Amino acid sequence: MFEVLPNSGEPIYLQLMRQIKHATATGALAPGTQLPSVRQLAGELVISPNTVVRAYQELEHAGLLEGVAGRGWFVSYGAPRLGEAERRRRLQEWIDRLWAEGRALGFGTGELADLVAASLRARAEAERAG
Amino acid sequence: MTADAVRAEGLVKRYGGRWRAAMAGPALDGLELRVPEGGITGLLGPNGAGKTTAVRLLLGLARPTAGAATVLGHDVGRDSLAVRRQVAFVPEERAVFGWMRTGDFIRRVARVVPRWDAAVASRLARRWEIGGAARLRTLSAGTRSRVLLLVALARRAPLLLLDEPTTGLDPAAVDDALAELATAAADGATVLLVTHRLEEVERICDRVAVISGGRAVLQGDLDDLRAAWRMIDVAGHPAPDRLATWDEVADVSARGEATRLLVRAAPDAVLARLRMLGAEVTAVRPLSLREIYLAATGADDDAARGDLA
Repeated sequence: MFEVLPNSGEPIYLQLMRQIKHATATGALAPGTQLPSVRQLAGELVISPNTVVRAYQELEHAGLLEGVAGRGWFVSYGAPRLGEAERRRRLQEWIDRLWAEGRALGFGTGELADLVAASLRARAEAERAG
Repeated sequence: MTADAVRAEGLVKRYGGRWRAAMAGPALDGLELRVPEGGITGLLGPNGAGKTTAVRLLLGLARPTAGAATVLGHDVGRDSLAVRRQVAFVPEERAVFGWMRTGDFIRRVARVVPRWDAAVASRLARRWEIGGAARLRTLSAGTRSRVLLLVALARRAPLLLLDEPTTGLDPAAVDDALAELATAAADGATVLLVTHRLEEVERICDRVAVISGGRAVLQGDLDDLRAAWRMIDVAGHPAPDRLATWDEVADVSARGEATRLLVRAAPDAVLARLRMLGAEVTAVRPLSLREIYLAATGADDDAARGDLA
């Protein structure tokens, strides 16, 4: 159910965290669901068990997973589903990233807004055209 | 804070013979190495960097000229027997015991090691189609690798020290062997994988150490290295001498009408300083382990690249 690309440059534990977050947010992994054991996932993905543990522990700190001694890892009942606030927060994350990247590349805020607006208009038109 | 399965401090090894010592320099030149307990560490380096010498010293098969090392808490000089009892070693040299039949070899190891797991041995023998009758020297390179891996895994040793353990295996068989290492690590073993094969390290290791010229030139958590290293392309050639002196910059190279920086930490700080120089950044992207490795070893000639699988 999970997949990692070891040569993509993205830390593997972050790849795992992203996929698990997505699965809990969309409900593909419902609260109370048990995750694969560290041993099983390390063997299936052919990655170090330390990497799986790191992803699970970081998600526990974030409140998405709960580790139960001797039993394994479960999706927390407090794990956020995509409510209105969460949807906005996630989009904001990407907007922040876009802004940071744009600034790093030397784009001004106005220029960035124009580019985004033009790009969205082009997409909307392409969608209307089918 | 976890304990260290392997710790080397200032290991120096000069091989005998005045000529060799004078011409080639020491095989190890103050090696500092740390392998935390649990997990899978990759030990990388070009040919002649000192990997095999390091392995021999860690097993007590050779004595260091200076420095010290412990393996699972045992001093490798004074206590090498205890070390070898607890370390499952797959040597790069595969000719050992070539005259023995596979089954006799496996049974002989099973008799002398403390925690032999017959269930693991028979599961892997079935899975990897290892028979008992053929003499080891008649086996293909891949099958011999599998026999040695079977023996290493069935020993249930706390430390697996594996020197090029996947030699001769096709990609599917490599994946299968690495998956066994992953589950062994999940069961509590520490794995130290000595190899040329960066794609294996990139996949399975959570930590790497790169040896070059007898020293560790880079070591750390692999995901942390992935997060820290960046390639930054800049238009033109702004202040090339100045860029090379920045702490975070591992390498600067001219690429036609552009400059490429390899940055080992804090790319945001470097980007901010580039902007102050008025430099136009055209691309920022993460690095593959191969690129990090080449930057760390300073290997930019074709010969050194040829070392890599």
